[in-house]
Amino acid sequence: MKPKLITKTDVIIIIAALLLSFIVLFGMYRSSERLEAVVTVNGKVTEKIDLDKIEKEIVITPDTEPKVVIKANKGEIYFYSAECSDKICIKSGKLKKKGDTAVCLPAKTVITIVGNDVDAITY
Amino acid sequence: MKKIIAAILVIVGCSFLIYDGVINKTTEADFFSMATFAKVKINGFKSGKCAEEIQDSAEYFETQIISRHSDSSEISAVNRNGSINASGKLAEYLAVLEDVAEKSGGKYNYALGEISDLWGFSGAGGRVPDEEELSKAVNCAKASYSNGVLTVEAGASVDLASAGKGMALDEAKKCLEKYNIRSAIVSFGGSVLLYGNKDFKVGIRYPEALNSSQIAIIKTRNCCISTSGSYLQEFEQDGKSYHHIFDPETGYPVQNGIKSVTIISENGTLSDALSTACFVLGIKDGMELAEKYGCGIVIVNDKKEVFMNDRAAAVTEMTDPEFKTADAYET
Repeated sequence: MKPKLITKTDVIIIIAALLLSFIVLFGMYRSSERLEAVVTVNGKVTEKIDLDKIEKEIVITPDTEPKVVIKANKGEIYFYSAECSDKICIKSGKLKKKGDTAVCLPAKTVITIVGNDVDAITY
Repeated sequence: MKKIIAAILVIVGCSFLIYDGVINKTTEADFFSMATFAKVKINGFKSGKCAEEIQDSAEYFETQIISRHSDSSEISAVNRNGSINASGKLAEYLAVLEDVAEKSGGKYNYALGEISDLWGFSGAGGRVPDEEELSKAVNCAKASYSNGVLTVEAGASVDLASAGKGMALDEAKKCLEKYNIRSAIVSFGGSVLLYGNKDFKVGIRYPEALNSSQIAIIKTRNCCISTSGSYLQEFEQDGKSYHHIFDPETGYPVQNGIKSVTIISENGTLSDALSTACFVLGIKDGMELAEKYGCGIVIVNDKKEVFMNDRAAAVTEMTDPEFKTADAYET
């Protein structure tokens, strides 16, 4: 007998593969809904925080000169204090939504909430 | 037969992986340069090497060529000696600045270093300068560039802060071309380079905001976008606020109701210098100058009115209902 091109096992494997890929896609979609903040010092990531999962205030003091203090609560993160002269980082206020960024140039520290609907911002 | 199908599937799958992971590899990097926060995102076979080179060349360009705070730079040499023979790298950009200075009738001036210092914008915190000191600085704030020679008047200093980020974008573009990059987005602070045959979205920041709030989105490709905003560096004294964009004729911050000017141009140096020039010129003259250069322009004023020329309007979508587009020539 000539072997069939597609057997029952093949169909099962294909369906299983499709299901698996849907699960992976759904997982990726869910993770893209999360509010994740990333803190970098001099271009290197020092902290990654899931802002939705914070229960108690988190205080971060990166090793920088001048000193900065970053605080994170549920759904928000911000420069709480900085020993720099212009305080632009503090004036940036609380970061709450995707794409929000605050930069402390003297301390070379950046907080970003990951994900954004635009590729860049001109200012 | 089955084996052949399986083999084809595996090959197709692998080629997708190779395409995404190697040929069209994405490299993202952040670094501090040109006195600001820089970001690159590059798609291409040699994206990693290219990102490194962009960072190195920006560092070199800042410390050896344009920073007036670096003793080894050409600009600090001209400020010390009054005149220099510009290197090829610098000459190319000075020609653009000189042209903007001329076409703007002197409203764009790259010799305002002393004035900026008197207002305290280079150091910590601002202050209103003594009137006599200021008028002395205004009178000598002159620099010129011709036939490869950059000259500055005694008592004045060349300050390329108004165009340095744009120059850095032009330098970055040379690296992207050298490595045959497919597409990339590079930003030095708020000056952005869009490279390759792919549309990018760039938000125009809500004036006064220091976060990601935006009033409009520009969707375009293959150009540089720069903004001059009065709100970026300002201070208050005796209840009045003062910002960092000066009228070269008075030495005082420009007070014409403009909050920000965004320029879209193929040339980064031009987009940066022109955004400052048009800010100083005001809405009507600013829009005329942008037209002369064939650049897109978006001006936002303190009444939340937005003025655009056709080139900008074709690629810009307003996203904040508080801001409305207005006809430039009726104001």
